[in-house]
Amino acid sequence: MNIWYEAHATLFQTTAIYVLLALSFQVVLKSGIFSFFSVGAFGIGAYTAANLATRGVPLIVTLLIVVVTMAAVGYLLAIPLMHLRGLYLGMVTFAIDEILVVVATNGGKITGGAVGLFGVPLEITTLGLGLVAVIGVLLVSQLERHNVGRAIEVLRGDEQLARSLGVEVGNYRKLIFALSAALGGIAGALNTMNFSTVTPGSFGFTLIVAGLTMAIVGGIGSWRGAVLGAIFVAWFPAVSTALGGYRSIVYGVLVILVVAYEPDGLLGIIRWVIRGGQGQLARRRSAVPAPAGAAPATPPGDSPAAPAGGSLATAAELGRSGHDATS
Amino acid sequence: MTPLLDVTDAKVHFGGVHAVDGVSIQLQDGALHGLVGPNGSGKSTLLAALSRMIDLTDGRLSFKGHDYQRDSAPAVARMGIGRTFQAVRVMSSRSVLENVMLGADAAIFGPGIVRNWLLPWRTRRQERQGREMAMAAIERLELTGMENHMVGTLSYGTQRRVEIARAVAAQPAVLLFDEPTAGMNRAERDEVAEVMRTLQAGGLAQVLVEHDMQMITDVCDHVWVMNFGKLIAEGKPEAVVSDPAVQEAYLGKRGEEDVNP
Repeated sequence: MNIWYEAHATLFQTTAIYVLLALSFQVVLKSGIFSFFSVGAFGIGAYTAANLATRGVPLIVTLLIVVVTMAAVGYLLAIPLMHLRGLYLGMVTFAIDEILVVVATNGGKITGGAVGLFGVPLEITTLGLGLVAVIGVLLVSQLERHNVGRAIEVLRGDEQLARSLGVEVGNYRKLIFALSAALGGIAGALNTMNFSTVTPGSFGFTLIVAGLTMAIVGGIGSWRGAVLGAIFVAWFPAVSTALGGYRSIVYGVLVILVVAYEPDGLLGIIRWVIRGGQGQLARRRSAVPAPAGAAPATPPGDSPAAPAGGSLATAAELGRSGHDATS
Repeated sequence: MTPLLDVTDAKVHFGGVHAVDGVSIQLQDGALHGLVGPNGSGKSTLLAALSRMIDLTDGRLSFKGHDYQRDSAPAVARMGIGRTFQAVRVMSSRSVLENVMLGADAAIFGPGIVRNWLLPWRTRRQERQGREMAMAAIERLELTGMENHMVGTLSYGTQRRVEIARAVAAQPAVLLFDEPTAGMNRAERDEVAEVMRTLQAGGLAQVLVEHDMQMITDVCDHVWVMNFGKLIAEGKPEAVVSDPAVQEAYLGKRGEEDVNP
């Protein structure tokens, strides 16, 4: 057991970091905010931590600075961005990520240019990483309870209805964007402090794909999905070595199958198995607007409300959530 | 006595289209008023303005003596102005109870987010209170026994009642209904009419936007008639129905309905 753990310590560390990144994506996607800024935040967090740690700032202080700064950056960024919806917001946040990569590549001493920064002191332990991930999970899971959970559920599918029920939609969106940025930032900081390097290539398009895969394959309806997705993405390459050259193909096919046939992701599949293969299908038929041709028997006039209830869904559906869902 | 809702010279213009063009109306506490008019006469727009879903171009809105034409929609909802929409809008894969609790949430938890998010042990008591308010509303709408049913599986008429229960759970001072019986059969309409009368008996002021004159004469004690964004008549339902201007707007020139702005 101990030897096995030692051999896989890197995977545990990666999992903890991925959990935070996946949560960063999950909180925004769940709220109907189609944003890629998690990865930009990851980059800022990574470079901030590298600079602070090499100057001898203690670990805890570094992490706190990253969290507070990124939450503030996210909140301020949300003010002009939050009137954008769907793919437009996706495009803008994607562009911000790409700009940050360019800045990192040309940042002189602070970012180390194209080769990045090396030799950042390794201050964090695997246990420490796990602890931060658990705190992230606790914070995000509390968003799913009580009135906050209901408010997020309704504002995702039907913003106008949410407003008519007294939900401060704008404040929710800003807060969630700030939380997402903080989670992304802390993931980046931990990544740097655990692997001692950061390069412009470490938070580009590849990381966007990885983060989205974790959140969507796991299931964006809940923090549990993000955790599952992070575990899947972190561990799949290691546990599938027997597949050899076919590994990437199998990975791709699995991702496609989950996204196409199970809008609730791995989480949905697990729930379905727990219910003995019954409950979930019945639920699907009656209420959830499943993407793959399953005709939901919704009553007349229900169309604007359907996305409000259905546990989301695919990136394509997110793209059109927003104004047009509140006709 | 100060009216509950006092609208003075309300105007909503979309470019050259004068959807609402200088309407002044008053609603007393506990009254049940109808708002009628042909398609495109501006009644839904007026309702949207009253709930602050859209901005007034000009005019004044007052609720219990407080001018609120600049307040936000969520603030107005928490102030006690509830509304329903033309189409059923529910969380269809959630239970009746959860949907109705959503209505009570703003009244109990308030607008703050961070406190409600980070102090779940404190919100537990409020959650219980919200559940009680929701159950009371469920009982009033005769949905008892269905609180754990998923809303998406219920009939259209029942979903409508869930919506009304959600609005009632917020314990508003006035409730604005936007064609609550659209697409319903006669029996379901009668059910809604009965619900509205019961709510009125409980002291709730209501505004009913409606096409069906039968429904209006059945439940309302006062009617406003709109056409081309203006108020063309008001009074007792029976008197208004026989008003020549109303007959012309409503019946006489039916062919024009579709070309109205």
